[in-house]
Amino acid sequence: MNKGKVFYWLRLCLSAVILICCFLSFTVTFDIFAKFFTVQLGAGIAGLFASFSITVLLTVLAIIIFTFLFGRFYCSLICPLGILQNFIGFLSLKKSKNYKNMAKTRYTVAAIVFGALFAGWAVGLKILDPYTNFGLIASSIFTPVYNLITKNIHYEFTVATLAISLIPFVILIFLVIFKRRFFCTAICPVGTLLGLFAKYGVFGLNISDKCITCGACFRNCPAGSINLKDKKVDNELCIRCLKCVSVCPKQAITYGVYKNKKSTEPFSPSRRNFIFGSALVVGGIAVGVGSAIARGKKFLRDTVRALLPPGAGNYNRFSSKCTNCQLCVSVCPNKVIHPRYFGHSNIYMDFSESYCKYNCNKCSTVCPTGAIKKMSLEEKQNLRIGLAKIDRDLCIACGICAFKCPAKALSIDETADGERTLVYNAAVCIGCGMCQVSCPHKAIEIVGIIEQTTLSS
Amino acid sequence: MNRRQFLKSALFTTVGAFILKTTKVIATETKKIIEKVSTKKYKNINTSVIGFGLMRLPQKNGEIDIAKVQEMVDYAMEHGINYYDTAWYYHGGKSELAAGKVLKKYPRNSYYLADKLPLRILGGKDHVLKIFEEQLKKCQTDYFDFYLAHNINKNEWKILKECNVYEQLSRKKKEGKITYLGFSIHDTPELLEEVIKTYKWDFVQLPINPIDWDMVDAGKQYEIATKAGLPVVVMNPLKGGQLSSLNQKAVDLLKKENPDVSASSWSLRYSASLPNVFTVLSGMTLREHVEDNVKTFTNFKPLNEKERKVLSNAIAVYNSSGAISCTYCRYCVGCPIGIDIPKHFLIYNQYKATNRKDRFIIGYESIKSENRADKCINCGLCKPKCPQKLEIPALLKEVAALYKELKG
Repeated sequence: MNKGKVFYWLRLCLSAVILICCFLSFTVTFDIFAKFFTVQLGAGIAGLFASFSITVLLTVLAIIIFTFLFGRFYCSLICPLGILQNFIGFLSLKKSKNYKNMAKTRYTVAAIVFGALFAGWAVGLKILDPYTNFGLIASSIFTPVYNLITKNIHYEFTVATLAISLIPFVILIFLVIFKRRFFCTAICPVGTLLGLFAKYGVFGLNISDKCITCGACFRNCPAGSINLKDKKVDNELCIRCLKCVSVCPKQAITYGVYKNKKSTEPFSPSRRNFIFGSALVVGGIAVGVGSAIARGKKFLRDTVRALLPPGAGNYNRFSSKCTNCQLCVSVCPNKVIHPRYFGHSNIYMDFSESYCKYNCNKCSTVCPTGAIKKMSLEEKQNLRIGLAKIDRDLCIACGICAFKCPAKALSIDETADGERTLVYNAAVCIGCGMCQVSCPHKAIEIVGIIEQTTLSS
Repeated sequence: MNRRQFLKSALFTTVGAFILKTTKVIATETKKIIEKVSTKKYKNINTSVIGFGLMRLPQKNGEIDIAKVQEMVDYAMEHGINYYDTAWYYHGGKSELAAGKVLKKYPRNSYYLADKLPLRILGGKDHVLKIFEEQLKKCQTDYFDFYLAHNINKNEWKILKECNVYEQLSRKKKEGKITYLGFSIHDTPELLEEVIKTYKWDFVQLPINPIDWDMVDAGKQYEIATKAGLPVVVMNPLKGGQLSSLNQKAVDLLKKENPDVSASSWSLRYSASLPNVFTVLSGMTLREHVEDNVKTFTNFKPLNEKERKVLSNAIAVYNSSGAISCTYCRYCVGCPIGIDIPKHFLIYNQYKATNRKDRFIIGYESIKSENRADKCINCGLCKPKCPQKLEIPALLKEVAALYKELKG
């Protein structure tokens, strides 16, 4: 076995382990792995706008610098959707095809996506971010299956969740089978961004003079990054799967300082091409920014009442920042966060069967985009996410809610002649839903509020 | 017409036109001698009896309409209004900025500026001066003529003492950054007495109007301040505009007595007539408000016995109409359900004043259904914020019930 094969298989095994961990992080039992998702570039960039912190900035910079130095290893080792495509790819027809370099498409897509993000709306990432799409697939296909098998938590497939998550999954399978890593090289905005840094990167794959032009690498490259004529691997498109290194019979492809050979073809990006391309990018940014502003004018003027996980802020903020990866839905130990595929906000909370655990801030710690702000347990316990509406006609002042309320917002007042009334101190209520769940008479309902507020102690 | 006749007539026309023009010029010149509003003596300065309140400024697209404010303030300055009152809370912090912008063009000694310290949001001793410095910057000035501890109530009295507010502000007074130090209060006579006794103040700002005089002990509080020798600035003289609209029956009574003056002039004169009051603040939104106030206070005369009686009759008629005594001060904002409480009360009061069912229904339905009065969950978070001590949840219920009843 040659050295190239060893590296390829090592990379593949590592990817497999990471993919399994990624799937497992969408379960309640192994949500410890969810920490891994803080090194997702798409989510990280969204996080810079949703809730900026130095850690997020450093993470994003680290990924970018790593990519500049070594190339798009991110796409084959860190991106769960990339690895997933890698494995679906084994089903692919192994015919060679000269894939077109879809430069204009990917630049335009990325311009629109990041343009909208700069203007405050993460919609592009919601649809196209690889991590988000992986989350959608994992949470609505893998997680229910896992929960059914382990009988961990009662979880049912719902038609809506399944239908919506199957759409990206099926599209992805088709793309991989017929066009291999078309998504990564022509659509994915994160990949495009990484490609730009890798293009002028330091290290890369070079084809040496040992090459006999057999075409094995060309046939096997899923990204269409190999130019046989010039004996060149395009560093912008190469996703570092190392397949070419493993299949080369002469071991002519080596990893080292990238030699950016000049193309022998007449220089293609002519002036006209360049201007057209820049126009597309500028236009794309304008479309993105414009759509975000238009949405703001149309929908974000109103304040909306909503019941959202602690740290979401308010409905308008949350619906602009969340990219719908469903990680919080999957890791919530009490299953009070539910997916909603229609409407602006991607999730909602429902206290009809369970409540938001007082000693838990899981959703806020795992959220990779910062749409649910990071907060300590103490901060979360002082944050009001809803308020209790008490139906005095149904309440018999039994006191169960007062006994269970973790915030001590409910109490029973007893007069000398034995008349009991339920007293509600809204000033300390955090809206966790414990009272609603525990009330035997269904007299309490937690209602959404317009803005989550921190209570002064 | 012969030559001579032509010359003659031409001469006459020129001379005639010239005379006409000079008389016109003289007429406008004489008009320019503007009558100014009356003043009252406070310590060693003279303040205009009517003060310009900057809490209800005109707005355009949710922002203060600076151009319009400028026009209003220009008119006010021209007519001798020299007391301008702003605060941190007003217009979400934008009122102070507006004050700085519109007053910039006048020499600093030509007007008196009042600002207030927001006690409710103080998080520690060091916040006091930080906020004070920021206020100076926002108002583009080096000092405040009048500076008040804003809206003292039980909770804020505690904060005031804990954060050493008085001590820190007195130091500023010694430095010349504050000329007169006072406080505003919407609470009980007992608390007022305690505040007066605890520290030495230069003046006090009290809500005084013919409705509140008896209803919420405003009269008693005026007496306490007077006895303690504290001059009074009147706020809320029109009860948030309620006294400028009243209802038809009450307005008819006032019009019968004097058809030329507005309803609001009555209540403004009511407060200004009190001897211990040196200025009455009126929050003005329209140019008409400024013009009307100038008219009222040019050659100001206190209410006489007969007028006093007419006003109290009109107020009695108005009180029996069942209006909610909300002043639309908006201190209650921040309802977690998103209910715009003052808007509900305004619609309700307008209905009580005019009895127009259709207007009430249109007004009520203009509110988004999930933020209407019937969605109130009775959490009571708004109650401690209300300076009028209104039972807001119960009143909202009433508004919702009225809608249900009218809608059938």
